[in-house]
Amino acid sequence: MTEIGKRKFVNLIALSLACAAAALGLFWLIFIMADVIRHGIAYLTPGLFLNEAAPPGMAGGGLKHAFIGQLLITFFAVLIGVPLGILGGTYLAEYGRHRTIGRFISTLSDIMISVPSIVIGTFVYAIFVKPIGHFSGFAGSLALAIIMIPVVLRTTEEMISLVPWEIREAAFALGAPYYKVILQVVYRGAATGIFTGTLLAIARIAGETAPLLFTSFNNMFLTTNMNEPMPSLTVTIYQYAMGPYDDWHEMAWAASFVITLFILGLTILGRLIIRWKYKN
Amino acid sequence: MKKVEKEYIQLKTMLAGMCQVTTSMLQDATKALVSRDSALADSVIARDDEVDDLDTRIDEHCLKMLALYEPKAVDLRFVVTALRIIVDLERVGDHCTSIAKEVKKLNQSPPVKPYIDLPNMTEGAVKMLQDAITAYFNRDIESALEIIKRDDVIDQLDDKITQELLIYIKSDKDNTQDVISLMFITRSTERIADYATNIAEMVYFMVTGEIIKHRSPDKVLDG
Amino acid sequence: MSDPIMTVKKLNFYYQGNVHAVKNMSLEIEKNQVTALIGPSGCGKTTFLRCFNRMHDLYPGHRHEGEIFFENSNLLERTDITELRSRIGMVFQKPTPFPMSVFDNIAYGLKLKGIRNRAELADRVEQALKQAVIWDETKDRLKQSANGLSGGQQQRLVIARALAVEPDVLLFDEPTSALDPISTGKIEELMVKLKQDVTIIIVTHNMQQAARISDQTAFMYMGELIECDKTERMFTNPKQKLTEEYITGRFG
Repeated sequence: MTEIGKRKFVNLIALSLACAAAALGLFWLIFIMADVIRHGIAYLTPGLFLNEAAPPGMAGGGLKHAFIGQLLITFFAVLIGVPLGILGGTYLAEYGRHRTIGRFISTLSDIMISVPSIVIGTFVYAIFVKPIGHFSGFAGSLALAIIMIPVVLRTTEEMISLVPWEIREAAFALGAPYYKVILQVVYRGAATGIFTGTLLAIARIAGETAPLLFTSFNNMFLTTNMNEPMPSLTVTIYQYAMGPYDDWHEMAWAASFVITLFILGLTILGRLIIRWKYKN
Repeated sequence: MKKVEKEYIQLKTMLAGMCQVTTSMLQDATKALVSRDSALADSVIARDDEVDDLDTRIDEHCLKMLALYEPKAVDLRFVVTALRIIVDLERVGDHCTSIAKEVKKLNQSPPVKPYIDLPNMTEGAVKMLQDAITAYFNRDIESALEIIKRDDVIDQLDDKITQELLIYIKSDKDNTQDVISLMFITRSTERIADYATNIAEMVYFMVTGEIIKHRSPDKVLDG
Repeated sequence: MSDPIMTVKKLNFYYQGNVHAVKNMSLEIEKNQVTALIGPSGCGKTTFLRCFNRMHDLYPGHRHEGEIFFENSNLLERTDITELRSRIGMVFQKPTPFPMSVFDNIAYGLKLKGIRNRAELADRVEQALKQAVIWDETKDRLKQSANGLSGGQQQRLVIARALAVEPDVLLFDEPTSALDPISTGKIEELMVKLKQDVTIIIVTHNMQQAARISDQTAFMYMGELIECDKTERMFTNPKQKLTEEYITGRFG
C-alpha cells in the first residue's frame, strides 16, 4: 500500500471512531432530553409554581417553596462566590502573574473544579453545619459558592489575561496608577468574558444536588429564613423521585424539565454572548 | 504636504534657478559678442560662480534625496536626470565664460569682419537650450526630439563658419589672433548646442525611461 | 541652533538584575525635531526609549546610573510619575485603543488629570482628534467602540490620545511596524506635522523611515551609542564604519 493510501486508511478508522463516540454521547443526551421534555411538559401546570407542597394524595400541590428556596440559595451563593472569584482571578492575572503563589493558587483552582461536589457538601457539613448544629440555607449557599469560586476565578483570570499587556502599558504611559488601569481599562476589556463565565458558573451550580443534601437539607414548607433548613429544587426532585407517590413523580418530572430548561437557557445565552463578543 | 514632496519642490526650484542663470549667461555672451560689450562679458564671467555653487548644491540635494527617500520609477528618473542635466548646464556655463573671455580679447582691436552666420548660430544655440529646459519642465518629448534634430543645423553652421574663418586667416595674416578667438567662440557655441541636445535626450529618458542617446532621432520617432 | 529639550548624560541602564542594556549613553534631544533611534534588534534602543517616560518602573529589578535632564532636573529621579508621563507620552508598536468608545479613549488621559467639565472634555477631544488628522473619520462615531476602527486609524487614535494631554515629548516605539504602507505613510506625515508642537523620539527598524522623517538619527549597537548626527549626514556620509555597514545592509 502506498504511503498516501496508508494515511487515508488510518484517517478513515480514526474518523469513524470519533464519529461513533460523538454519536454515542449525542444519543444519550437526546434520549435524556427527550425523556425529560416528554414527561416534564405533560405535568407542567401553573399550580407547580404557585402552590406549596400538599400532603401526599391531596390534589393541587406545588413546588413554590422549592423554587423560592433554590433561588435564594443560588442568589446568596452568587453573592459570595462571584466577588471572591473575580477578585481572586484579578489577583492571579495582574499581581500574582509571575509569583509562585499565583501559579500555586491557579493549579489548586483547577483541582478544585474537578473535586466531586459531594465532597464539598461534606466539607461544609463538617466546618459549618456541625458546629452550628443544624442545616441552613446559608450552608447550602456556602457549598455552592465554594464550587463556584474556582470556576469564576479561572475564567476571570483567563479573560483578564486575554487583554493585551500593551493596553495596560498604554494606560500606564498616560500616567494611570495600577488600580485605575485594572478598574477602568482591564475590566472593560474583560467584562463580557467575566460575565459569561459567571453565567456558566451559575448554570453549573444550579443543577447541584449532592452538596445541598448535607447543607441546606430540605424543608416541606416555604421559608425565606436562610438560617433554617431550606428546600431546593434539586433536592426536592431527588426526594420526590425516590418517593412512593405518583403525583410526586409527576412533579419531579416537571421540576426536572424546568431546571433543565433553565440551565440550558443559561448555557446557550453564555455561548451566544461569547459568539457575539468575538465576532466583533 | 509630505516632506519628500517639499524636497522635490526645492530641487525643481534650484534647477530652475540654474537653468535661468546659464540661459542668461548664454544670451548675454551672444549679445556682448555682437555689440562688442566688454562690461557685459565681465558680468557673464562673474555669473559662473553662481552656476558652480548651484551645481554643488543640487548635487548634494540629489544625493540626499537618493539616500533618504529611495525614489522609485518616475521619481528616480527625475532625480537621476537632474544629476546629469546639472553637469551639462555647468559645462554650458563654462563655455559661456570662455566665449565672454574671447569677446573681451576681440574688443581690444577693431572688428575683423561683419558677423553674418555667427549670430545666427549663437541665437540657434540659445533657442535650443531654452527649449530643452522648457521641455524638461513640461516633460515634453515631442519638443525634445525636435531639439535633437536642430543640432544638425548648428553643426552645418559650425562647418560653414569654420571654412570661412580658414579662408580669412590665409587672406589676412595680421588678424590671426582675432580669427582664432572667433573659432573658439564657434566651437564653444557648437558644444553648447550639443549639451542642449544631451538635455533633450535626458528629457526623453525621464519621461519614457528609454535611452535614445545612441540612436538617430528619426528612428526614435518611427519606433 | 542647538536647543535640546532633554539631555542624556552618561546613562547606564540595567534590568533583570544585571543585563546591561544601555551603556554610557550621552545624547541631546533637540526641541521640536524628530530624533530616530536605529540599530539591530536587541541593541537597547527600545530600553533606552522607555527610560524617558520611566516605563521600567512597572517592572522589578532595574537600576540606572547617569541622568536624563528634562525641565531642570533629572527625570530618572522624579517622583511625580503621573505628571511626568503626561509631559512625555508614548505610542506603541501595536495600536492600543482601550476597550471603550472613541471619545472615552481620548478623554481618558484628560480625566486622569482631573478634567471633568463636559464642555472642556468635548473641546479637547475634538482638538486632539483634529491634531492627529483623524477627526473627519471619527466625528460621526465618537460614541462607538474604538475597536471598530482600522489598524491605521487606531494608531492615529492612540496618537490623538497621547496628544490630548498636551505633552512636550512623544515617544514612538516602532509605531508603524504593524501597519500597511498607506497607513504608514499617513502616520509618517502626521509625525512630520506634529514637530511644530512636540518633540518626537522614534525607535524604528525601518531605516528608510528614519531617513524619511527624522532630523537627527542615533545609531545604537549592543547598548552603546555608536554615532548620532543629522539624518542627512548619517545616510550620505556616516563617520563610523559600523554605522556605514548597518545602513548599507552589510551588517554582520
